[in-house]
Amino acid sequence: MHDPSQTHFASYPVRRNGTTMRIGVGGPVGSGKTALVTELCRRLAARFPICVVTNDIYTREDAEALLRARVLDAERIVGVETGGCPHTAIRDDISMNARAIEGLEDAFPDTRLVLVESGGDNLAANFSPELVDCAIYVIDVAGGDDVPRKGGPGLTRSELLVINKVDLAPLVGSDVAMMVRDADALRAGAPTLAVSVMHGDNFDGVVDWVIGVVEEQRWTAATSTARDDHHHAPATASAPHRRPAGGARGALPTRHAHHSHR
Amino acid sequence: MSALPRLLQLADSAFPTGAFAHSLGLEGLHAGHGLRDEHDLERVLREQLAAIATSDLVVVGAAHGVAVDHAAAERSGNGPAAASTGRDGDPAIAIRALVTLDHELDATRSTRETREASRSTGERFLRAARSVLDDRLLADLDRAVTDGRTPGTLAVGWGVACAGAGIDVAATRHGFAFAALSALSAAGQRLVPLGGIATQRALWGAAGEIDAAIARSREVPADDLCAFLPALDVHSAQHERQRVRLFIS
Repeated sequence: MHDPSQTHFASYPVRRNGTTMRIGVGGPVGSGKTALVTELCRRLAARFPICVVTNDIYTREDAEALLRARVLDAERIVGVETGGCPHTAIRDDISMNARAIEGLEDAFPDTRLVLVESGGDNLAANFSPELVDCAIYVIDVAGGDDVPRKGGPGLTRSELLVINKVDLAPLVGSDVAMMVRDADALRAGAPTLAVSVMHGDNFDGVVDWVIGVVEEQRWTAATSTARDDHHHAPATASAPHRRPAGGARGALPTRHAHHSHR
Repeated sequence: MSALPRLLQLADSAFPTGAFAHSLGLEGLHAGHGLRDEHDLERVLREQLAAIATSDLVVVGAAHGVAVDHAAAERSGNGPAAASTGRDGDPAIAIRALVTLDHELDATRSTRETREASRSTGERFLRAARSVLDDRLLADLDRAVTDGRTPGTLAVGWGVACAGAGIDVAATRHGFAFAALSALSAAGQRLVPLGGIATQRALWGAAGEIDAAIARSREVPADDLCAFLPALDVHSAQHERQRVRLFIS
């Protein structure tokens, strides 16, 4: 008879160094993931040591864009090819990403934050809890202001949703307020920030959220189980636009479960 | 319980080893117009099988044997007869034998990418297998890989894990061969691209040669490994500088 009390499994399948937080950054192609990662590194690399893993699908474009921006030493950036399966590489079989992260953490033991940027993917993508502690999902207004209503784990199970390129909203006819409200309806209290990464509009909220994760291990758990938009009311243009300041570091209970292995 | 479900789980493409991110030179072959349809894919699968018959499959069987002998010695105690054969239940002795096998197999990889593919999938297999299978020798092997004392090829970890799960050596070899072909066929499907049925036809045809490959592997001594895949190795080397690519190897 199998006695579970007598087994001695490895405590966690992905090695942890006990000091580094790992944040996933996912979202569709062109939504601004690489720009967001670049800007976070630019603003925060002097505050705490950062490394980045990029999941490029076909080339090393994302890794090379980070290198060109000179926001981190080249040795702190690793590109991982995903065999054409970006979802698999961050969700189902995280082996190659985990290996890349462990390699960076071994090479730079002072690392406090590893950003894991996913390759361009769709709304079904989310990160394995064995790979990252929490995740940012990035969409943009030019992708259509109905995207937050479409649901999917990227929108509902990310700890921070960033609606990027708000400066373009008037040009593409997108209603940012409606997007934020639609996201709120699906995200069960997890924060949403409407920003322009390129121009800095409201980006301080994203920076504060990341600082909260790294320095206080604090974020709002993404607990939504919503799957679609069938049960929430149609949006109206008069809904208030959520201000990013104060929205990210939530008043809701924070997630602790993933820290127990550290 | 039957060992079959354990073998199916370890060999399942869902078992996290990162194998889906490797093509072992197939992507380079495709870029060189050597992989155009299911017939090309089946040919490559057969060539790959012939190569692992004289390398990986030999080591799979040998590693399985080391683990089975070690477990038997542990059960029977540390008698003088066991000690004289090196089978006295001391895990250090078994690890030394596994490390030797591991280095021998690692040396058969001609290119950096194939060497790294074997090491990385082997390391992750060990990590995952350790998380579901309580086996001291497996844990010791994982530690040796993590400490950098041994490369950590997939074949060695596979043999030890299967032995720990009670899978016999024949099924252990079959499982390894099929999983290797299945992973490579999935890479081919994405590269060409092929339909699911065409891919399965190629895999079905090549997998029909697994029995012969295993029979061949039994004839090769563990200290006389070889893997001869010159075309795929050349493409694997070229792949390192291929700008647009889906796969790590």
